[in-house]
Amino acid sequence: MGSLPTNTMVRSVAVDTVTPERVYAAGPAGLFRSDDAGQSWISAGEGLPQDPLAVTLNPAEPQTLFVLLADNSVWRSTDGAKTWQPAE
Amino acid sequence: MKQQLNLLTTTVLVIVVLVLAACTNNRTTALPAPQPSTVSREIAFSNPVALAYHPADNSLLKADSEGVFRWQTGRGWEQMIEAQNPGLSGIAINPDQPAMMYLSGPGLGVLRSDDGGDNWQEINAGLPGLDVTALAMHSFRRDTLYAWLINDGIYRTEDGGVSWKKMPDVPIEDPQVSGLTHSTLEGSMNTGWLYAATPSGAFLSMD
Repeated sequence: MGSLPTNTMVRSVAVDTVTPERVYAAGPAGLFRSDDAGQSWISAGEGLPQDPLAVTLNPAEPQTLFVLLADNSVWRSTDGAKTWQPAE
Repeated sequence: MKQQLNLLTTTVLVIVVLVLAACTNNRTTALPAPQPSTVSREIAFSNPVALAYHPADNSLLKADSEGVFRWQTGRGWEQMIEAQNPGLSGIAINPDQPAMMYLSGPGLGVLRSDDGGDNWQEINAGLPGLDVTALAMHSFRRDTLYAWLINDGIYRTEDGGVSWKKMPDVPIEDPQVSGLTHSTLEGSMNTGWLYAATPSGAFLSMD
């Protein structure tokens, strides 16, 4: 068991269904991505105008992610959280 | 005069029919009333929200303090289900049978619908309390779900909620779990792992 991202509030976690080492964590500190099951984390929220309340993904296409922002807007990434666009 | 009365009556009837039709179209399902919860205040304060992808129509479902909302491209958010205070904490959809859905909430325990959310039954046999603050479905065993009972631990059902059993020795360091997510990552002695989202980080535990 390990803590990730350390001492940072996490509201929700999404796991890549094809590559389970890849994990996403959303919370007031932003969106994070780990490619080693949580041992190390990088910021993955570049392009998002606010911090995410929650993150989920399409289990059939885990590169497609959705985040919910505090203003109730939905943003989508189709490249594993490298880039984000508003979903309308 | 009589013609004017007929016209007035017809107009009123049309308005009534239109209002009734509008009410029917905007109908939302109401859930059972939650039982008094000892943790409602802190749960409500943390403003939990759970998000799930719905594979049937590429929509998103959100469960929060007000109920369940569906988001679709071009339509935005629409309320499906109303929830009473303190609201909902988790939502899970069976990807193979998307009409099969689960909800959780403090004071509610876990609810199950087999008809896409029109009707809900409480499935709490084996849960010693109803203050469930997080819910997750197993990655490939669709009848296996996990519920976090606050100040207690993780409970697991392997039969779609017919019965729940407490999982042994789950060392989550922060009891304020707001989200659970299953992972098929290798290395577990069981079938995978659970990530728990908490105010002090995300924790990993065997499933």
